Amino acid sequence: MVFARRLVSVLFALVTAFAASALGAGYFLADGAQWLDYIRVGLLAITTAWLAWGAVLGISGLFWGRGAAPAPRREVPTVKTAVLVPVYNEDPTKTFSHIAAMIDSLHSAGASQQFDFAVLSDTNSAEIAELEELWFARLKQEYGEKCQIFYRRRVTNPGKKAGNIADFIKTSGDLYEYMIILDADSLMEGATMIEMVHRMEEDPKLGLLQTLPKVIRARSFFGRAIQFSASYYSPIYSRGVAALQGNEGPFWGHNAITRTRAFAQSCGLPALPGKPPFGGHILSHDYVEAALLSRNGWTVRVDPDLTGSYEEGPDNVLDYAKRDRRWCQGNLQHGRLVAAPGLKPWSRFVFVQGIMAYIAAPLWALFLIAAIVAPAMKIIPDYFPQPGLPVFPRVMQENAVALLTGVLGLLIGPKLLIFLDGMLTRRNRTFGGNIRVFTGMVTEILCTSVLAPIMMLFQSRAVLQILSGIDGGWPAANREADKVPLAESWAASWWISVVGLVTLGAAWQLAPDYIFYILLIAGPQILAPFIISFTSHSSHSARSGLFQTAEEAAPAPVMKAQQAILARWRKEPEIVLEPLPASDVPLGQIVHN
Amino acid sequence: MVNGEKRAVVRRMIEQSGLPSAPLMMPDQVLVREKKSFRLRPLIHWLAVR
Repeated sequence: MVFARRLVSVLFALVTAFAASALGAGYFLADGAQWLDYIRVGLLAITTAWLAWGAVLGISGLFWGRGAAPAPRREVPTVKTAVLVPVYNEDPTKTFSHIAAMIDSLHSAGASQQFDFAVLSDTNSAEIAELEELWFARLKQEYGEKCQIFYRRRVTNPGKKAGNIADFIKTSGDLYEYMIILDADSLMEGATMIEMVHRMEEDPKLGLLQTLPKVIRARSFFGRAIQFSASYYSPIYSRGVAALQGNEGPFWGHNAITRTRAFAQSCGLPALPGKPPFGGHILSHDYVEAALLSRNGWTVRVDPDLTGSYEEGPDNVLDYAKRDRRWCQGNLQHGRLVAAPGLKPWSRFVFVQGIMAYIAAPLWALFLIAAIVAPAMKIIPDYFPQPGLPVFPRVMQENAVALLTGVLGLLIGPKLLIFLDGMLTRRNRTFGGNIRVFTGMVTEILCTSVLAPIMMLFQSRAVLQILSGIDGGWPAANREADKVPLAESWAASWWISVVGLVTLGAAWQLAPDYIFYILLIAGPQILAPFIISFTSHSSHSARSGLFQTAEEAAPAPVMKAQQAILARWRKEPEIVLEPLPASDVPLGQIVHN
Repeated sequence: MVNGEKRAVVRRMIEQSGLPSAPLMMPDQVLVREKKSFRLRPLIHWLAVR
């Protein structure tokens, strides 16, 4: 059944690409064929196949996995689970408030003794490391009675996050049946963690279970648009992913539970031969770990019905682009692993999808260049192939209209269908009602349409940098980013304005008939510094109800608890510590012995 | 509590909160295919001899 679903989905993408190519070829070649037209048709086929693949995931999600989620089980698990919180130069007050809220949530469910939290620090800033120790002491003092909490800091960080997790397994893995892997900004309901353990217990072949984390706490216009999109559309798209996953589902690096022995046996990641960006440590380790678990016969699964799982996202375009640069390098690095021995074919296909997610941007850029240059390369047609009346080449305008409609349909169609589904199933009510959702959807589509040409250039630059051998390193995530001043935005994106101006100038000279369409792409690029700065400002949309999500309308108890703890800690930052009883034996040793 | 004492208490708490020792093996996986030697080399060698 999974095979059939995969086959139909792949065929849909291929047939759509073929139809787009046929329409494109009819239009491009109508006034005479030249080599550039064939390149345009090829680029159109690849990029349309990619768009169609995205659309098919959304449409599959509307038909698959629609049943109501079973109620989470309340029984306290009998096995021990480690909850891993890798941190890397994060704000410790905030990260530890997340941990405190999760401990409270587990404690309320009566299960906090079955879950041990481990803060795995890779922080290399001495200042932040000192703060981490101080705030850990407070966390331990206030919550240490309810739950075991460990702290370990690596002075050097080989293997980055994957190496951090591996170091935990090599030190303490034998104590735990399962590990819940989080990020510093992750938040999970205790009931969700308990249910995840039960699902692992009932399927001994299940190696890793991924939840779909909802984005929360966005403040800017950009962040709230992304948050709305993730909250409203992503559950449907992830059902589409689940429909095709079989035993080779995804791992997104956090908010997931894994069987410790399966992970240890399957996911030791060696450094790849050669230098970064293609050699060295594997950056996007999660996809590789999912593929390796599947290779060893373990099931990897995403369960979109698991609620109570949250994360935070970047609040402005520059932070989004920085994260994208890292992910781009990680995904392109997977090009070396597509042919790794023994992988399941679907795992290889997932690697190709990840690569396509970034290669698509420069391909669209090339298509745009070709579209501007092609009219100037046209040879004046021979109007009199035979003596007598002239023969005019037929302009296949209807092909162009059909093509444009089709591409827009692939981009917007699934979102419209999800909205209609939300009306019929009354899901829209949890997002503030049909009118509010419709307004949010239209604004989000406009916002992403304006940002898409800018992101196309950021991604194209990232791909070119990586192919030129430039390593992006491992920048810390800025989860508390404030608005981007215009000067900063200008410094980061002036080159996009220049590219936009050059594009518009070239279109003016070479393809004046298409100037309106080119303006839709070059216009946002020219205005990129303003758009980036404007969309980073704290949004009035929260007050007006625009982009309202279900999580905002009715925050989960763990979200409320985390906010309360953080507010209290920030109000009373002075840490009052009680003297400890003298002991020379580390607590960890006591637990183990 | 003065700063020095506080730092000592924090340090002690950190030391007492170290990870428990229960190691699990995590062998490195094979990710890259071994380069196969040129399969026609014996044939070329055979032809060269003749």
